[in-house]
Amino acid sequence: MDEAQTTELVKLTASAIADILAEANTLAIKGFGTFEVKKQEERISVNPATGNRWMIPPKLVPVFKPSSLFKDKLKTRGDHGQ
Amino acid sequence: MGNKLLLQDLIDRLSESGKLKKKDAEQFLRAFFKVIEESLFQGEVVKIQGLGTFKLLKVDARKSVSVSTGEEFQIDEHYKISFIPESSLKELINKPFSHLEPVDLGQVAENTSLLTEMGQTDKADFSEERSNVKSKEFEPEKKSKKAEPNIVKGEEIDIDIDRRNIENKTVQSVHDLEESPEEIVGSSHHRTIIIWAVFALIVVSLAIWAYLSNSAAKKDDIRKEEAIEAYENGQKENAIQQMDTLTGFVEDSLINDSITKAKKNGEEQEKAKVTVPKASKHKTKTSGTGVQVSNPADIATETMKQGGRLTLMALKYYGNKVFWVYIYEANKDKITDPNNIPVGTKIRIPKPDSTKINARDSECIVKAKSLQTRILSK
Repeated sequence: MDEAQTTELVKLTASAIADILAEANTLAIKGFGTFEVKKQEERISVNPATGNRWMIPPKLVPVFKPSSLFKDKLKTRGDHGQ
Repeated sequence: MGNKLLLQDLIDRLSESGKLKKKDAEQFLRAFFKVIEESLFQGEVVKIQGLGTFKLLKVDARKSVSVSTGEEFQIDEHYKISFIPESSLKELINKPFSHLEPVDLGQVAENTSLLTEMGQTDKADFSEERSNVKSKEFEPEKKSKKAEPNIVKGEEIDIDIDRRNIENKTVQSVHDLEESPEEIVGSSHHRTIIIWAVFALIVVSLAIWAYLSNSAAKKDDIRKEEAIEAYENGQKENAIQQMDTLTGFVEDSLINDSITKAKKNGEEQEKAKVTVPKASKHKTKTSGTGVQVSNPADIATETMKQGGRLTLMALKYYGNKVFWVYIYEANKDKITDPNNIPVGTKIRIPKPDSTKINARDSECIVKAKSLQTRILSK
């Protein structure tokens, strides 16, 4: 497998994941985490400069939750090179 | 929709769309996620086009409280995995709601009404003060009803040189308050609402006043308050009198001030007019010194000084400033305008008639107030 192929595969994977999420499905990858779609409720925000109020409509946002295994690994590996 | 898919499903999809076998797809995907994980652990930021960015975020150590025991404990510094979706992915996922746009709801409603109310309250005060005495009864009630501007107002009643300061400030702030809602609101619809609110407020104010004038019990309390305030202000006044020249100057400049402000806008003009006669009223000065007894019917004679006032004399000798009317009655021949008594005028303080002048008797105060209304409406 060369670089060009890999790049293509990565793109394919990304679009596959995006499709899954666009269909409002959840994708759980063992040992890595879960991709899901959450609904963000509508809210009212105030522009502090003008005092104008805006109604922000509800929206759907993609969310990634790392699996507990992933998080544990993160804990045990103290040094993250940062 | 709403299904929970696993790695296997992703493998299936990949092999369907791509040119590779399931086995290869599985191998690739496992490696793919492994690479992401490893790169993150090495402190790298992993960006996958069409999906988003994974990175590690440092979470600083912080203190927390255990929910069960209530004990404090330390949360150590750690890292968390963050995923920031690419905007293309966000758009794709938000498609069902993409037609929704943020809606401008305009100015915060409470603010607007609050501003008009404040402006209006002062207007009402001024008109009340024109009919004079009444405002004194009016004020304390409003204090409780509509907070800030009235507190300022309430202090104002208790005539003092400071008072002109406060008044001028109030005029200014009223000016500010009146302008701001207009600037912000803009739409004629809101203006109509404001006008109606203003109208309603006037009606309410009048109703409160009517109620108050009939409630003697309440007035009694209010009068006590007034007496206390007046006493405090009286003390201040004494201190201020020692700086006669200075205050005179300040006074003049303040009056000029209010006149200049009056030119600024019509509505304000009205208020400033009220301010000016008021200021001059306090020119009606008395001295706290130079007390002589010249007439057996009098308890003292005072010389009007810069900063002196009949009300203060009344407070000093009779215990309530409302009894200034009797001092005025006794000195009618010398006083043309009770609001403007020339400095140096000798004021006789008649012996208090206990049936008419008694600070503890609410009826006396009511009588004095009605007399005051009559004198001031002349």
